[in-house]
Amino acid sequence: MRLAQLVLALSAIAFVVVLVVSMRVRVDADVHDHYMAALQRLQSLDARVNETVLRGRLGITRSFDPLATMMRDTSAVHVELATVPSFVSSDDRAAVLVSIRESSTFQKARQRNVERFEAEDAALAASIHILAPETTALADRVDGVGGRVLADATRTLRVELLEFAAAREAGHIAAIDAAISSLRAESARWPNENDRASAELLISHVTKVTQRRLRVDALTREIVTEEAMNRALAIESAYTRGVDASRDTWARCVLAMSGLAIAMLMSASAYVVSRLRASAADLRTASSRLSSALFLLQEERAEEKALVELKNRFVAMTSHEFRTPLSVISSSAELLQHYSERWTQEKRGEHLERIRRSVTTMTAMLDRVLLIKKAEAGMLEFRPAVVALDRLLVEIALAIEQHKGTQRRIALDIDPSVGSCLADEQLVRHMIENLLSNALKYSPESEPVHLRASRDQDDLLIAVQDHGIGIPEPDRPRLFDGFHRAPNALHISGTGLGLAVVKRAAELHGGGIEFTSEIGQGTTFVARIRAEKRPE
Amino acid sequence: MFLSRSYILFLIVVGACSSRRDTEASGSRDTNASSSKTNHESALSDADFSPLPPREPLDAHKVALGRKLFDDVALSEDRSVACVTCHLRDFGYSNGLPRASLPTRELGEVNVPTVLNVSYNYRYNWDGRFETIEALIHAIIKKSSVMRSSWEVIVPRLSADATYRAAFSAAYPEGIQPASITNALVTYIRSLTTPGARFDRWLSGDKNALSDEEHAGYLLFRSYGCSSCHQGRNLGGNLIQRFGIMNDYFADRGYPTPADRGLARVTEDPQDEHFFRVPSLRNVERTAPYFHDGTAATLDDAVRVMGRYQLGRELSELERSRLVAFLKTLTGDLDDGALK
Repeated sequence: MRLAQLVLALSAIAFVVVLVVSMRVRVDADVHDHYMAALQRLQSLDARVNETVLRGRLGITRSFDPLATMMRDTSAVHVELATVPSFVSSDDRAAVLVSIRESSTFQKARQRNVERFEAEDAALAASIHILAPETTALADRVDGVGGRVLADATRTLRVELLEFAAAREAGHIAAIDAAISSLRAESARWPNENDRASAELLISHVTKVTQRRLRVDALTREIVTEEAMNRALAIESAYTRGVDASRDTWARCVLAMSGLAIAMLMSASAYVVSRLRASAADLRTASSRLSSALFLLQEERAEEKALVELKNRFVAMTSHEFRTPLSVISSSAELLQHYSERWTQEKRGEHLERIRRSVTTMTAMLDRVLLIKKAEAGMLEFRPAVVALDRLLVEIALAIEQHKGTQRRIALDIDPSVGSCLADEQLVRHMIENLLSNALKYSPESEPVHLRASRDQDDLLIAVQDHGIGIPEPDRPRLFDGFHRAPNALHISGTGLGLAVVKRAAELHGGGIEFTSEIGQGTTFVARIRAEKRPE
Repeated sequence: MFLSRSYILFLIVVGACSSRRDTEASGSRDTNASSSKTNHESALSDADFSPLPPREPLDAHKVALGRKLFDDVALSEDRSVACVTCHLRDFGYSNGLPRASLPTRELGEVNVPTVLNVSYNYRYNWDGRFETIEALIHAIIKKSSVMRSSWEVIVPRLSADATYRAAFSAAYPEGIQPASITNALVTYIRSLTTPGARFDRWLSGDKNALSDEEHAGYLLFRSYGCSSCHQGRNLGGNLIQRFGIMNDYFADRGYPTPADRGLARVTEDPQDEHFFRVPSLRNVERTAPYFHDGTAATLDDAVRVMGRYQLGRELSELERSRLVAFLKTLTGDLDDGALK
């Protein structure tokens, strides 16, 4: 599952990368609050400066300590704001710094204006302080000594000044100048030097007041604007933009990380599943191999068992079959040993014949065993030659009849089409002898045995039919196995080898052997051999 | 603008009554205002005056180190000048002379200002060009008529001294650096405050702190408008004002010097011509002679000049003596061990 692994690896790397990016843009709440607090302080300082300047202009504020502190704090806040939090991207940070610089520059100019305002206002206040008592004192003084006109001029000046103070219009200055001129004129006529000095003092202060009042107002208008607040707000909006952008990026990073996490999870599980499947497949393969190995083992065991059984049957059979001839040999030999001198030649010959026949029987049995061994080992030789099969069959039947030495008859029915063919005479002889002797063996004397031969195109069919005991159903499958004796045939001597050889012989001829049987009715064996008809 | 009939009336009333009413009401107003103040920086009121707060707690190591530096000639290039050489403790941290006079330096341009209570000022130097004490120190280090040195010389020089190394490493993690040297000096200077002046006690409610003459002087100080510029906690130090408002001081005095230009020397703004930082009047009794040119030898001279050029008044002898009596009540506790 290379694909799953690749996806997993790529997703993991991408996840880490996005994580790193997200850490950089993560908006730290404390830092953000701190910065916003500094921005708030800047705005509130600006408002307070405006308020203090206005109060100064109204004459309420007499000390300049608060203003000086505020201006100093404003500079300090700008320095503090210049450290923009790191979660703001560099582009946004540049914008914030630009707006801070603009605000700072503006504030410096504002500070100069404030200081000028303070200076003008202080001097103005000093002049005002002097004017009121001085005017009243002078007016009262000269009034008391007949200087009514001078006193009036003084008072007029005062009134004009007050009106100017109220209206703040430059247009009023003309009236003030007029009042000054008249006071000066009157004062020049007044004899008292001190009073004249007082009048001059008044005039100089009034002049200053008119100038300063206008300048203070102008400075106030310069200072108390929304400009400073606008610039402070500009810093705030630049910063807020940066924070929002960072928050957006952060949200996108979180989204991406979630997606990547899902991808990682899925690819990891796909990988795990594929591994599991592979293991399961391996397991299945191993399991099936195991079961087939087990099966083979079982087959081998069965074979082994069959072989053991075969061996047992062989042993049982041979010991049983050999015992009879051997006991005959033993008894005859013993009798000869004891009684041969007293017996007639004929008697002796009889026993010797018995011994000889027993030996022959045992030899034949051994031959058959060897033959079956050969047959099973596939060593049975097939030497085909042209054989006159019809004459052979007759010959075999007659030989059997004579050998058995009974009244048993073999009924022959040989089709003329049988003729000659290519066959192994020995094997055919063996085959037919076996079938016939079996038929005779397993059927009662009263019943005949039929031998039929016919041709079915290139095959020859040789049937041997008996009316004997029949072959029980359970034994039929194993009929052609070596050493098999059906239970109902145990009382009849036989090795149980014959049919195996018959089958092999038929097979060697390119054919086979079949049978039909019925218990108590009889059995018919049909050997089919391939035998092309040959001309005689 | 803010003009309505009632407002005009209000202004007229205020204008008419301000001076007379002020003098009567000022006492109680000041008491109310001053008693509400406790902290160093906060609660700065807009009343004319306020007493100096008690000395703020400062790091003792740094103060001691700063004092050592203040007295050390190592800060000057040729090891002939220390801060204390001109800012003598016995002369109210000035030198009792019209200008700075040192054998190894050219004659100073201006009178030596005091170092007392400067932490309550908002501008430093006669021309008010510095906004922080640190900036002033940085300039003084380099000034050829003062230290004539540089940090590149001073830092290795101090670093070679084991006592300094130990003292700095105890007080400053960064060790001997321009910033830490400056900070030590500034910390020491901030410790040089003089609370406890009789005027301050009067402001705080002790009505017996001022004699009748002194009180009369105080009233004149206010009604003549001296308090317009010499106001605040420090009775000055927070304002830049023209020297010669009503008359031309420099024209009358003659022999103009570059220092006479005041702030305009720095800003080259004609509006700033002859503008000076208003000095604090605290401890003024101890810091004769007066003005940037040191031409007023006595307080009486100074008051006369101020009256003529700032208020346009020729003050009488009686007025002057009363004002001088009041000014003498501004002397704080100078016998504190820290100031000796």
